[in-house]
Amino acid sequence: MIVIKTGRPLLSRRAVLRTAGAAFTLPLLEAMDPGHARAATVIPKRFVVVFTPNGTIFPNWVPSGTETDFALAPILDPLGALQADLLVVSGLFQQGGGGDGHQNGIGGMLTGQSLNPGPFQGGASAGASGWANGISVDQQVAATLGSGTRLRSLELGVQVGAADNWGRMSYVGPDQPVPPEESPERAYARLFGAAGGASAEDLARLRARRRSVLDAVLGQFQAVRARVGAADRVRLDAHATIVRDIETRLDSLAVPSPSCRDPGAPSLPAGGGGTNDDFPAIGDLQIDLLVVALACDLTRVASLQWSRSVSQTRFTWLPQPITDVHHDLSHLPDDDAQAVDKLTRINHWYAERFAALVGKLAGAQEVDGSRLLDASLVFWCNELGKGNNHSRKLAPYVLAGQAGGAVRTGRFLSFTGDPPHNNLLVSILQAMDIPATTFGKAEWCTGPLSGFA
Amino acid sequence: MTTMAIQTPHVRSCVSLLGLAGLVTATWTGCRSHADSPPPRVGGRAAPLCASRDSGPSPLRRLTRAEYGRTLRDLLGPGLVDTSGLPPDEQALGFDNNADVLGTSDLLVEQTVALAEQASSVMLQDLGRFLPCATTSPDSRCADSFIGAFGGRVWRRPLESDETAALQTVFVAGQNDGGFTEGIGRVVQVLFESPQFLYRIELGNGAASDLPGAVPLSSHELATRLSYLMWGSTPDDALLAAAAEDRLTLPEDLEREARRLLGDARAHEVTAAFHAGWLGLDRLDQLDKDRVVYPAYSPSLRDAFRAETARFIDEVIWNHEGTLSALLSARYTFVDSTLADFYGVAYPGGGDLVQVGLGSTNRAGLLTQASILAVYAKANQSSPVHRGRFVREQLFCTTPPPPPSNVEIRPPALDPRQTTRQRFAAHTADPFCATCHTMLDPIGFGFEHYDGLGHWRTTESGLTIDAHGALTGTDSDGPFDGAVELADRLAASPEVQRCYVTQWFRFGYGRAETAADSCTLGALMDAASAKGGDVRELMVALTQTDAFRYRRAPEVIAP
Repeated sequence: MIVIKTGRPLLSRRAVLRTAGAAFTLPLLEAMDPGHARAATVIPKRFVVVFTPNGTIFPNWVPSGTETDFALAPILDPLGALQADLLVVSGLFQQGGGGDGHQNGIGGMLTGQSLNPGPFQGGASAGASGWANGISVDQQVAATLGSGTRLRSLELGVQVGAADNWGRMSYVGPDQPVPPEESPERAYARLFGAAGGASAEDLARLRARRRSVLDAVLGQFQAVRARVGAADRVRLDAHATIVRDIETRLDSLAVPSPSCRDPGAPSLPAGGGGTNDDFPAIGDLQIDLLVVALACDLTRVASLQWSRSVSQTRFTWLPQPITDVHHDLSHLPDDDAQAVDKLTRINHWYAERFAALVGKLAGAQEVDGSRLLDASLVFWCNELGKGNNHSRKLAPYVLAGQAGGAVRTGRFLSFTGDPPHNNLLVSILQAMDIPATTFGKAEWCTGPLSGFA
Repeated sequence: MTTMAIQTPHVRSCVSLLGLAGLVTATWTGCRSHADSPPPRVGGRAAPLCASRDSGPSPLRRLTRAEYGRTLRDLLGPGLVDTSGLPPDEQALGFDNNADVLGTSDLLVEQTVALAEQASSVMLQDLGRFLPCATTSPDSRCADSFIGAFGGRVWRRPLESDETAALQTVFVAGQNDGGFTEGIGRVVQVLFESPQFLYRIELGNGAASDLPGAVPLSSHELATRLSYLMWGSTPDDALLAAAAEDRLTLPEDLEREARRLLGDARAHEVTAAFHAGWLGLDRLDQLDKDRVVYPAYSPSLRDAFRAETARFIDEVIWNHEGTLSALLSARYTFVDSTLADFYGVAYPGGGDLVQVGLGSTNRAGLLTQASILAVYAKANQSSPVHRGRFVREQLFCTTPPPPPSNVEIRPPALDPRQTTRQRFAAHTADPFCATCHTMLDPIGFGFEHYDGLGHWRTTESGLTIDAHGALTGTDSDGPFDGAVELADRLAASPEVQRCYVTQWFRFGYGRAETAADSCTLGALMDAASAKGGDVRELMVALTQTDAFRYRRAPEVIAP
């Protein structure tokens, strides 16, 4: 046993032990500080994406009536109490290219792009496909809104499964998919850290240490990039950009709402939550974490991905259990009344979850007493319009929240002539104060969506 | 709830059971031409013609989650660092190490930062084990020595002088802030967060190349390729020592070291990982069966399926025949008492998994093991389509086109008056469906003696099972009766052997094969057949190719 002169300990023994797990986020000392909360005067805007798979049953989804006087159809019925906060958009067409209907559906849904070549064996005529060829709208928003928060954005998933292009919707750039965190346990650790016992002084030292390490790491990326070829350099630069970003965020200050609270570690279903029947429970935990992450201003951009395109979920927990696989059901013909009924009930269940999320945002308070939802925009999307022919026409989009007054809600926009859904993505960016006039593939975009603003 | 009639585009309908995530996809248009003239298959019917030697592409490889975990284990000791928080690696062609699709994300980088901090914390608690100096008052000379020794282990090569200097600066800054251990801790973090650790940077050895468009790799770069191929982990001291003496550039050097590494238990992890990816065994994690139809199913039964197949693969490769042929047709397996009941064999007792003969069970090899039968089936019934497709794709390396986007996939309702085979008659009755399903269903029908859980059955719906099938468009065409006969046919097929070699190429080199790889693939196939199909010999052969020993010359970057 050697004796080592250590000098002043960096952290108290207790704090060191508490950091033994691989937790990334430092604790929220100053974010939880009520002094900060009182000091906050500007309410930040927030953007949330919710994905549900395999298309919808359009006739049971689309509202009836006029723009401002409309009735919700059975699928959206759970949103009745929130109707004044909704903007329902029907009739848009998501263009696509590369891969099969599901692949380019989920890959283009938020990017407005086609898929690049790659090894994911999908469609026969299109052959294999790769990742989407551009940034997604949530990440574009995060590039601005997320510049000062602890996390640039938060991606959560519910039983997403394999990491391939049927399961990725969010991209920071061409060929750079963003993986969702599927474990509420790890998501919690990412948000609230593990160094719970550390003092402010300890944390200042941890921060200083991390800064000095990241500086040196960036130096190594610089040194290595100079010696490699162009293709390797692209990959290393993508990594170095994130390292630099992490370093910048060490100084981030949260503007937490009064509804910010550390929810405590989530309690998972027995067995860890990996079985089909755990789907609702995992989803509920992820919804709670997403809301608290926004309320605590740990991030201003978040997404919740339910399963994946070609979802195999079996809705065995419904009042009338459905044992069929969702994707199989979605392929059945329009005249199969049983299938239509089951798919309607599946999408109705997803609408209930969406209502729960929006309801929690409506229930959370900002410092000025307004609702968290008032400054937020929540975008619910699907990779298809219709499951049995993989059509991406009549895609079922629902938005909620006023984005700080930028979006007039309580409306139903019904388009004819299949205007491109890229236009909706432009309008979303504008609502989030990002001065875009086009988004995604240029030929699929003709500007902001008329009537949106 | 009301349902409005809406206008529907013309939709064709095929009865089908396809539907596993990632398998069901777009259009059917390829099928007719597919059936008439199979597309070129590098790993398919004929061995590829070696046009001209080529290294093939050399995409930058980063450590996968599994490789990262094994590497930390081998550098620090087992069980000290929990790498489960790393995001799952992107998957292509069945494997999760394809360099072309492996991404980098905030989640990944954050985790590598957190893991580096965890590794550093673990080391500082037991620093005596890692410090090269046994001194009571460690000084900067000790730190320098640590940087050189431990840095060389983590980065898998000796540090360059500017790298050493940068790390010394990190140490000094840390020492000033918090003493010697703080300086060491920061050095450790920088080592584990840097690209030299997380990526397999390859610059070549600077020597003149005898391969146009490619550069020979340095001994250290080859040491890294070797250890990640054979162990899925970092080089050991002996391999780094051989690299330091530049004793790895010749094929015979690589062969000698490859054989040494194969003698280590770590090589078993690699053969397990390869076969899990190739056979799709990770789908067992999501396996779920309808408990009404299959009351015998439980997660513990699934775990037993998984354990059986893992043990069988390991035993065949390392203790028995060692060949693909045996994997496909061996008349033995490994059972616990539950599996013995499941298969209808006597449990000899004496341990968790015990070897038993399959003589009387109508089973042989991997394809009749419950793990694979249950994975390639539906929750409530068997699936001739999935099973046929599995054989086509994974054993023959052909990709039947998935259903067109405008076809309804109507899972046939369970009909108490019909067998599964009868319910699937529509596929071959409708010429539209038949173009593709004649490639799939006749193979899948051969498995009809096994239900959706893998249980043996002689009747279904009170009717006698008909498990006659046929192979078409392969080197082993013809009718067969049942999966055992099919397994023997596949085990003897040179085309299946070549496909298996192609799968190892994808896994071993972390990328899909390309037209430029014809010579490498041909050499691998020749080597495999010369060695009687021995899997370990194939792994050695993977180290002897141009794809392994060279990398494509890096693209010049304009200054």
